[in-house]
Amino acid sequence: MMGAIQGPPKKHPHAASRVYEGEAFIVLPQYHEYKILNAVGTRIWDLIDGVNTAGDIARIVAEEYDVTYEEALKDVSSFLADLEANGMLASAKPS
Amino acid sequence: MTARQAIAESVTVSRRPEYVPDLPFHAARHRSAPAHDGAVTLAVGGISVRLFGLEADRVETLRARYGIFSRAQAPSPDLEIKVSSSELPRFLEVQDRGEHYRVDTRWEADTLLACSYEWAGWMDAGRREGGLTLAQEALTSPRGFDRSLENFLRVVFSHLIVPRGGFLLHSAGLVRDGRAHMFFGPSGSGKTTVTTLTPEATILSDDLTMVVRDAGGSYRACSVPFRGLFAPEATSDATWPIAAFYRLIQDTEDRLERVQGARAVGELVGSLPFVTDRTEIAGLVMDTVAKAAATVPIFRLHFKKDRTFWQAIDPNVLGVDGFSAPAGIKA
Repeated sequence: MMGAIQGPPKKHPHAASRVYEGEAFIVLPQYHEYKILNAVGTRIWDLIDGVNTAGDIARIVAEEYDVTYEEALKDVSSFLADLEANGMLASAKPS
Repeated sequence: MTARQAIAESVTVSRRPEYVPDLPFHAARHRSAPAHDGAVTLAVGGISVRLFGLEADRVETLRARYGIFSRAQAPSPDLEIKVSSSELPRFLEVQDRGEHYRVDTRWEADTLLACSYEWAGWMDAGRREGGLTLAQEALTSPRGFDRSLENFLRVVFSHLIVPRGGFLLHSAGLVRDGRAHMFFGPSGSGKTTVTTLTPEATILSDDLTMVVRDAGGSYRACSVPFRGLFAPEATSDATWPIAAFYRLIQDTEDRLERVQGARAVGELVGSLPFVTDRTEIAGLVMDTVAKAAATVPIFRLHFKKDRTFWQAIDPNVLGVDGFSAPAGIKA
């Protein structure tokens, strides 16, 4: 896992996405790859807008999925690190 | 080995710097008068593209190569491409022995630029204009000329069909009892295998097929003239209603697994050539494919490389989404 995301996470400008039946489908042309997120991952992806911090997202996830803020923050931070490692966030691998 | 790999392996690996033409390079050629008077039009899936500026013998070569898809004239082509030449020996260089045939694409506003080893081209679908510049290695070798034209035209048609609701798909298209069955997947997944195992079918292609959306919103499949350098020529440009799409998975049993939603879109998008290389149109491509996935069933076909896979397909496909089971389909 990479280090904690600094500042509000932002989607990579080259990542194009749509949601089908509650699951996000994300095309990453720069890597010739695509990713599919489950329902929770899709909700977090939706909340990544360059303004919400990991803490903001965790607070919303905690409310909507009935988990503690601490648990949500841990999972959200881990998920954001995965997104970054896969080139889906703006601060990820150079294009 | 695929034809694309074979093509790349047949040329020398080089560390020379590459020259990727920019928009001014193409604009300069577009302004000049065409060097020759010859022209030929290709019509595929309801889209027509006219190539002009060709020498007379090149016109004959292309008409012979593209057969039933070539037209002497078209009243209003969707794209007019001026063919010109460059003194450069080539544009891109083969950087790795065994690399797949490389095509670099990028967008500048509404203009798509594409470049490969022996050719560089552009198209602006809104203005219905385009250009293709051939390097010396394409001009001095008949095979290089064929290969260059064909690969540029693949790029052109793959981009022209998307705004019309269709797409080019790496797939074997097999017509049985009036319906097209579309088997898709990467090289080595079994497209040619299912084709050779179905001798009674009308073969649209064993590698690349066009999916078109008709005026009523139904999806149909047709052959394309882009068949590599070795595959047989298409014998019909008719379109056929699509029964289903099947993502090929080699296995020890024959089994159909329905996929829907994001996974269905993902399976198809992963087998589209060129159009997902750039972010600019990725959203349009996803929307286009999602509409097809909402209309035509998509399956993962686990199959064991003999023709018994049709036994898994027939009862599953011919009973869903309004398809009736025609008589006489037995593997």
